[in-house]
Amino acid sequence: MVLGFVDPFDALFRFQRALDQQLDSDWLENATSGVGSFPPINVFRHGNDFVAIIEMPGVSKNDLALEVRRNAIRISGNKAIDYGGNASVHRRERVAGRFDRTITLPVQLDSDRVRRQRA
Amino acid sequence: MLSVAGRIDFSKYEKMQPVYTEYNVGYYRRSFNLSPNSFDEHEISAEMKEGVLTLRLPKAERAKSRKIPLR
Repeated sequence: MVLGFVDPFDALFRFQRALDQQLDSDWLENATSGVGSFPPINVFRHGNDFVAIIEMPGVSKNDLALEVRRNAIRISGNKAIDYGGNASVHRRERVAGRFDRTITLPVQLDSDRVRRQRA
Repeated sequence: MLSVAGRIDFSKYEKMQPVYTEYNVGYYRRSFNLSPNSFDEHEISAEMKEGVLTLRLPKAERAKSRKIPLR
């Protein structure tokens, strides 16, 4: 009789459940998307490639920098909002400012073949 | 009532297997109550630039307040 140890199978099942929860995101479900880091990123597998779709409305091409190194992609830039001269704000949901995010992928990236595309 | 609704093209997500997701995609709709007769409905304009929609709702002449001059 060994005291102080948990059932190894129990530990295994808990690990399995934790992994499943990771996979079980609310993708395509009803939920708001206006929370979390900016810019929000979705990553897909497409054949042998990864496709990262990043939503950044209002960010102009000149204010955006992309960097690839080994297995990481860095997205940084500035989002500017110009309401024009003499506007007063009644309601503000959109925010402006600098952003800097890095995502890592579980594979080595071919930095020469990383392509960017604006929708 | 002002309603803004959009639909997305799901075809670009075909053959794409999500591996990490932070936001949902889909159709959307938002509605805003406007006070009646306050806006010039025929003069409302919309512009879409870099994913940002700008709506302009000019105030109707009858809804504008009258300035009272100070003596």
